[in-house]
Amino acid sequence: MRRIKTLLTLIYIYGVLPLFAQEDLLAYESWLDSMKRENYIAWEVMLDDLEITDNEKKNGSIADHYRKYNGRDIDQLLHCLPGVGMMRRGNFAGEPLLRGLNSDRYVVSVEGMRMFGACTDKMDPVASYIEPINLKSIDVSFGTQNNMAGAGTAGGLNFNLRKPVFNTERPYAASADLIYNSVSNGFDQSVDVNVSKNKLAFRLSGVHRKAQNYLDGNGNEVRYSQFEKFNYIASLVYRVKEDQLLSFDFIGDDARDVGYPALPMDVAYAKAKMFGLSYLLPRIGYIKNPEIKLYHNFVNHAMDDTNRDSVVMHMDMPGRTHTSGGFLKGDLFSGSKSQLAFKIDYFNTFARAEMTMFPNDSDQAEMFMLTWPNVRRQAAGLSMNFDQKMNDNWMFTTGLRWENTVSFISSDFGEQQLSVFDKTGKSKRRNWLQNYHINFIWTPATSFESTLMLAYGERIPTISEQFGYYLYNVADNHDYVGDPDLKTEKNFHLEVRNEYKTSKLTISSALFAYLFRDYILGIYQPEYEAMTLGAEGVKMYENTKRATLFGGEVSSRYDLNSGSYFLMSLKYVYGRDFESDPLPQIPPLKVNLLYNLGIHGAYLTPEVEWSADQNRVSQKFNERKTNSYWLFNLRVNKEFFQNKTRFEINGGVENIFNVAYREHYDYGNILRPGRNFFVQIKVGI
Amino acid sequence: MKSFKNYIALLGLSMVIFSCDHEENIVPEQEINSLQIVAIDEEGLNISLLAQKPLEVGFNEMTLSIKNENDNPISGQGDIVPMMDMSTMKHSCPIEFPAGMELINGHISFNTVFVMPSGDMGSWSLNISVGDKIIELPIEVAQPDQSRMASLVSSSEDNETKYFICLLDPLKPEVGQNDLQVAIFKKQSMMEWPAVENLEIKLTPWMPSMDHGSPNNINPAHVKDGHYMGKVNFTMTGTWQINLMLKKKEIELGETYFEINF
Ligand SMILES: [Cu+2]
Ligand SMILES: [Cu+2]
Repeated sequence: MRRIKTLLTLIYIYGVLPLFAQEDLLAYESWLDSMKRENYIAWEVMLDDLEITDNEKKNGSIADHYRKYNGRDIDQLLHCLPGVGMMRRGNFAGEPLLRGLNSDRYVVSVEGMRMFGACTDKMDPVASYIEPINLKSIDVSFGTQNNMAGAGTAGGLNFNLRKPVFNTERPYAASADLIYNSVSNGFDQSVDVNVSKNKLAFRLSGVHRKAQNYLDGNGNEVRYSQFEKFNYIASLVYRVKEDQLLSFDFIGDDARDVGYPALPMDVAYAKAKMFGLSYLLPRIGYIKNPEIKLYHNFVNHAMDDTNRDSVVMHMDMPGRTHTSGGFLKGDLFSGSKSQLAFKIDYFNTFARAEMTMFPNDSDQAEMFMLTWPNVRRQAAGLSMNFDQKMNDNWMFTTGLRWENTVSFISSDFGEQQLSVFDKTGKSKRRNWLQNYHINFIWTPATSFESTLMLAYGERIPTISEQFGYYLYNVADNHDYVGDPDLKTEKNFHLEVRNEYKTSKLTISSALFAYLFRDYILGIYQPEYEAMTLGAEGVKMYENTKRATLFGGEVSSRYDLNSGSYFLMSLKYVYGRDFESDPLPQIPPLKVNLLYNLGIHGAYLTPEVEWSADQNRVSQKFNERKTNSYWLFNLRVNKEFFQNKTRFEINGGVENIFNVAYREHYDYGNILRPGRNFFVQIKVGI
Repeated sequence: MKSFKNYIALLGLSMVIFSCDHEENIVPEQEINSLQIVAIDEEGLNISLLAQKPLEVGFNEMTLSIKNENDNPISGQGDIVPMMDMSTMKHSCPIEFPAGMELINGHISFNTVFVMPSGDMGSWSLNISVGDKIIELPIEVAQPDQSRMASLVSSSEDNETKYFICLLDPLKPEVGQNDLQVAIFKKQSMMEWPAVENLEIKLTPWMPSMDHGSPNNINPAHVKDGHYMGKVNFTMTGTWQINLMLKKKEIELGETYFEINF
């Protein structure tokens, strides 16, 4: 029961399950048993560790382990997941990589709400605006499987927020969490309050995190790696009728003085606000279990170099985005053997980023550029998924998505800038994006399941790929210029998944191939000259003929009689570009192994992580080889109740041997943190 | 700027259309050159000099309006010779008559490249010939803050011929693609300053505070009467240099630049 029908999970959390008519409920449960999962979501990581309802489920999965032991911050949590890696530019706001592909290619959303970071240098991936304490689950999908998420070619990340809980037995609940990390002398505090009364339930939470510069494995202080942030949430659920819910979420995130040691600039502030309003009811006409959602969010981001010692030229680089949208989703048909689900969605977004440069010679004038020239985008999509159980051994699921997008710029200044390249941004670019998939699921025995997946999907270029103007990339030391006339990128996705599961042993594996066409990549333009001081040259985004990725993940869990278990996971990606050269920033083979030993209600977990060399480097991207490393960690966990208060203590040492290492895809030459002692205390009432 | 010019052209055109009834020709430049620089009454003529802006070193577009005592426009052939009197010697400067030397409705348009400012060194005047009369019109030429005229003497040629390069466009530079127009003259003698029509020009815009240029520029090529047209691109606002390398039959004559701020 690792992956649960999202909607039902939601209903569980709302606590309205008993309110459904009995036969509906039975139909639902039998449906769930037959389906087992939403096939397009590879991992749904449940995070309700201090969930206050009684509906707590033990699922004993691999992801379940990580949420308990590695859930101190979102970077750490995501980094552990099979197929996921976190690309770092500092000690804050890692950018998730899905099978080696970065956020340009996948769809990010928060409860289905699309959102776009406001930094041209990707200092603020959307994940950075979410704190684990506020997460119910994370949906991770790969490739072109998940047509419901939106049009991407490398999958999707969706963060599901924790919701206020109706609980008549405990109308008031609260939890608090304190974390200390020695390597950065960082303290995180959070509190969380849930109140439910009759028809109304609400949840408030606040998080504060502050860290100093951390020490790397050589004992050197990594300057400009400090950060501080506040995150606050208010969620409200109103029971309009017995079976109808109105739900409102507000998330505010406020980061300040965030250092990015790998980049030439830091962040003075990064502020995001999100508003979501949804309505859930059992049926509208033919639509079963519909959810209607409206949302709006905005991000303000200001880069800053005033704290740096040696700044060649001082610059101001503010950026902002705002996005509004909505969707309607539900089931058109849902029986015991088949289901037809759909989603209609729309969003529009605006992005502007500018750059003012202050010359050292005061005789010279200030310089100004629009790096995102008031980019406007709209997208409307229709997704359909049909699942059919053929017999006891076979089922298939198939789906499609059609999306129509419009992109243009609304700045006259931006239009003038583009005239340099004899391009226009004001004329509207329209694209029809298509996505299709079909999965065959074979279950010859209860312990074995095999899935064959075939999928095709497209995406439009990102804002930077289409309209970015001289965006400096520190990783390859080039300025990047967008091309408004880029075509869509296509991915043919093939995958085979197998899972063997007995009461003791679970082994799951996924093998995939991505066959990209018109893969969007920055291509060096020898005739153009870099704008940024010290940069080597200019790259322009182009549709390259092809790119190929293949690889896979294997994970397994072996349970001993004593309640202890072993976990193993392995991930690997191989990527090559249109000239059969290695693709940049591809992670090498990585293996994680851990043993979770239960002693007297406490858990002791030694961990080993091994990462291979990465010798397949992209010369076009100025990449260097990265060395193999071994990491050793030790964690302890203890939970106990006193009266009605629940305590949980996590502690341990990460990178015990103080290894100096970096991940191949990390920016700059910055090493990751050295030995870290940490402790986390959670209290829940 | 473009739209302004279009507007003027349109205005001019509409005036031509509407003025057909009156059998008049209105010179459009008169509309542009609306600032009166100087006016005199001499030898029964009422002469006023109009320009877009106060006269300065470099390229100046001007119009002379000549009327008789009865306020009727004069017609016939006219001539203008700019003259600098430096007490020990006198010299002229480049002048061109884009619409010919005929006085039309009392107006004659001309462009002059003043090669130095008025001041202690000497004083400028325009020697105006209309019919049998010659009138000297004293004028003031200022040194602008940002020079739009440069000169060079080439050592690879005769080490003596002095070229004068004027930047006409962009008048109001903007980010993006701009029309570039330069006019080039040389000093043949004190009184002869002909247009130079056989040069090749290599254009390199440069941002000195960041050490970068811009892509996709089009080198100015000769169009007419020493005027060369091309395209210059600016990727951002700020202080730019427009560098021009002059070549004559593969021989590099030298390089000069204009600094502009916007
Ligand atoms: Cu930034
Ligand atoms: Cu510049």
